[in-house]
Amino acid sequence: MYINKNHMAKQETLSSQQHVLSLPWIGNFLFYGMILAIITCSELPSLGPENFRLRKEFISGNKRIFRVLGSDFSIFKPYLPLHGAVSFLMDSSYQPYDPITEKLYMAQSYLAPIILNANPDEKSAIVFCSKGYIADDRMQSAGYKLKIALADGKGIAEKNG
Amino acid sequence: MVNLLTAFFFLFFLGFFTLSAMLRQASLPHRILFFLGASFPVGAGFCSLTLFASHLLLPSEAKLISTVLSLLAILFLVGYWIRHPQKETFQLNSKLGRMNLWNKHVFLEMLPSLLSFLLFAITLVTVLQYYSLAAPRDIFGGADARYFWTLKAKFLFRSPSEWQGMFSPKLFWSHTDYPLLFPGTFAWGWNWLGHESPFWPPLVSLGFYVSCSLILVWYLSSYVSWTTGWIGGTFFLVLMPYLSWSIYQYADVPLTFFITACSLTLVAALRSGQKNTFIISGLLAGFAAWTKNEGLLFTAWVYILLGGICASRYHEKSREPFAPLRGFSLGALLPLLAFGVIKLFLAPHENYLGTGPLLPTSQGLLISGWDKTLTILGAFYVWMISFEEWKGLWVIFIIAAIFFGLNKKKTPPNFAWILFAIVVLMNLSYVFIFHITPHNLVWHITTSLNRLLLHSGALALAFSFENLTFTCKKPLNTPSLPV
Repeated sequence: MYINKNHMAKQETLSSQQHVLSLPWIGNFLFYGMILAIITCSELPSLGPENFRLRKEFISGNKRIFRVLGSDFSIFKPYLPLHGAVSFLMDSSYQPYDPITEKLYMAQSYLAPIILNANPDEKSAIVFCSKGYIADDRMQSAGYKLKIALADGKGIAEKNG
Repeated sequence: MVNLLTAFFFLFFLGFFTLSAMLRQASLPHRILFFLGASFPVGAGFCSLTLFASHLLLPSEAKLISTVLSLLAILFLVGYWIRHPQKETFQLNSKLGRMNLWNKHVFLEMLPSLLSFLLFAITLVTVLQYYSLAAPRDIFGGADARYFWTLKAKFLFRSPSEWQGMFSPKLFWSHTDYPLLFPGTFAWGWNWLGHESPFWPPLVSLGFYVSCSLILVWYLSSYVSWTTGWIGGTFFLVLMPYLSWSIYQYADVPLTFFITACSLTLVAALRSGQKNTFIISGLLAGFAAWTKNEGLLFTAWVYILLGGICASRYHEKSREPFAPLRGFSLGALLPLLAFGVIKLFLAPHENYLGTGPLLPTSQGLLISGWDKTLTILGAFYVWMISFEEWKGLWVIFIIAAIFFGLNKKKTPPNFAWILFAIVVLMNLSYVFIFHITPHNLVWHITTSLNRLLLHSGALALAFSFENLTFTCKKPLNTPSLPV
């Protein structure tokens, strides 16, 4: 009985030693060592002092800095219908990858629920061109005439006839 | 700020009490951690569904109806919770409760868990601090957030009677057929606040981001160990793509949450055989589809995998072989129904293949030579091995997959292969989609690939940590499927 107990105790010690030095233990050590090294070496992109200022304004809810997206298009709002669709004329016709289309997106964001049609199909149109002569060309080719001028190259146009 | 936090915690508690009621009779391990991770997204999902249904049925009173319905729902659920108290909700681990931390041996045994928790907490605080500094710089988010997601929210909030304008074919550039979980959550919050607060969308985005990390902690701590859970959650927090896309308020992070949470709860359901867990998993799959089109693709794959499991049960002549599929479908029903209404009735003119090449042309595009395939696979390779972005996650995933394959016969069936299968199937689907894209391929890859990798990245992390932890795995002491 005594020998048996002693033998079992020896077996247990041996098995616990095997457990500590076993392949799984080394595998865990390597895996978690690598993960911890990655975590501790990770860095967040650096931020400047302006981010701290912005956060302060953000928390205080400063509406002058955090303006509504597309506020530049507020000049058109009084002349537009409350609902329905109007066309949107830019320097060039709509091209999916053209950066200029962001103006259309921004205007839509500000003026929703009015629908801005990128194609010149609607009775009225918002003209949003960088220069007056470009606006004239665009209106002529799309069949519009200027009804209300709001700035150089910008205004409300109506379909001819 | 107080109102913002009230709206946020309203969604959290709505989700908490809903999940609590649904899981009343299920023995989900570490359920409080699961609730912490899943409550906000589930609350957001239900509120967006309520808002959508109100707009559909009575647009002129939609704001009032959706808010009142949400309040009634939470009152009912709180009442239910009080009448059916669930002590086990707050029990993390019965063994943990019995442990005496002042005992030296116990303390030493618990030390890795405590240290890894500390690491997680410090990383989370650092990341939250960074988020609070970076979010105001891009307060309206990236392009998709500005012009797709919040645009739809504006239609819902500004003029409920004209909300269907968002589906007009004239707004072809705004992806009119996109589902409405994210915009619905924004609009619901704006209704609550009474104005279009620019601070609400970043807070919602942050909620989904933190939830992703917590759901990983829940799964890994439940099925591997506490140390693995906290370290896995920390590793997720240091992956920059998740943090940056949540700062940009893209719907890919919420989609990541629902894909990850659905897959992990599905594995938990298959391991435990609890019917209610299948319902939760189905609900999360439905919300994945209700978040982005890619979520529908994911749901289709899950249905195929679960269908296969049920079919094999049928061949083995198990009792109720299709019970898991029924439970899953029951959970997914409402969100899928809402998405179906958009796809079939509100924006039937727009779908991916409809705007681009149809099947015969797609076949031509698909077999247009190896150059395209090599370009796509090359792009996947470049993005996946970028250490700056993914910190070696995809390499670790491949090693874990090899190890899993080698050890498959030695380990008891635990359904971990489902996580591997979903990661592979989702990415193969994206390879296929790039083949048939109607857009310029390079432009499409550049603008979307890194975001597409987000969807399965968290699952790859869960799979890797579970399979590369070689000892101390918690035993699966429950039947593997409902009988």
